[in-house]
Amino acid sequence: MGKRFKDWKNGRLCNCFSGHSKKGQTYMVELVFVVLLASILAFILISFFSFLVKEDIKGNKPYITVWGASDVLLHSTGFSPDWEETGNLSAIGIAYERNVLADPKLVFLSSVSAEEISRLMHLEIYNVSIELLHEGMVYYQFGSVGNSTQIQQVERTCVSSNGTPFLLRIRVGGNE
Amino acid sequence: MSYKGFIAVLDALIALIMLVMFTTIIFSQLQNLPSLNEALIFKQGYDILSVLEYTNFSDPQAVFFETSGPLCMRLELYNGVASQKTGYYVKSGCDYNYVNEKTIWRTYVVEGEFKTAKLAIWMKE
Repeated sequence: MGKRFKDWKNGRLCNCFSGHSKKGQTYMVELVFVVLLASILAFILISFFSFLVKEDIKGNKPYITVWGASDVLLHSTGFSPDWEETGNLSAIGIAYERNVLADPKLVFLSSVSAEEISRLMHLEIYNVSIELLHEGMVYYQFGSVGNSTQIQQVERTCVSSNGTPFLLRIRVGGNE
Repeated sequence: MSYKGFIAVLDALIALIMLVMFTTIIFSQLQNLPSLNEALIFKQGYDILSVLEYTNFSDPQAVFFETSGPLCMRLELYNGVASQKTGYYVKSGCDYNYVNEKTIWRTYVVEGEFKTAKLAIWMKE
């Protein structure tokens, strides 16, 4: 701010900046400069880390998708819940209760084509294979990964209603 | 005057460097926790405990055999208040424990009595 004071030498009023306000202005400019720089830097860093997080999620997407599909399979009855009796099947779930396999649903699935398996698991863009193994032997197999090269695999533990533990292996490959 | 300016610029530089350091540390932490693999290991653990509970913890080794190959686990069974160990099982081919193991506890009922199970689970290196 300009400050009016008397120039005693020439005996008139002078309208100019004092040394003190000049300093204040300089500090203010420095402060604004630093705040601006910090904001720009923070923005760049946040964008960079957000980008990294997004890339990480994108990279893991097929794997996360398979996990999601295996959750639906092992923790739900599917839809409609009694689809093995009515034949009205729009989403596959093969459990009566959490991790406990429903044998009639498995029997029904044996007659469903590989394409239908992918569609009913809402993974149309992939080839899907589901295997149920006990002591290394395949007891049930539904669907197929075909000639897919990039295959993601998830293995989960489950049990049949008679108490036999099984390993559920879901494999998903690109549907080129 | 120029000396003051130098100090002010130095202050600003230190502030900026510290900002970069703290931002990096905070975002690294945010990005790391929780990691996907840790979350999935817990999911596996809940699966295994559900199966063990369904089979009344009668044959844990048979259940361990039907788990994913790279997974290792140790099961400890206790009485209801977890004061007395009643059973101890380690998946074959696995060490006794691992520094980054994840632990899941579950309380269950057998013939009207409360029991406690502790499952420690980790990925084989």
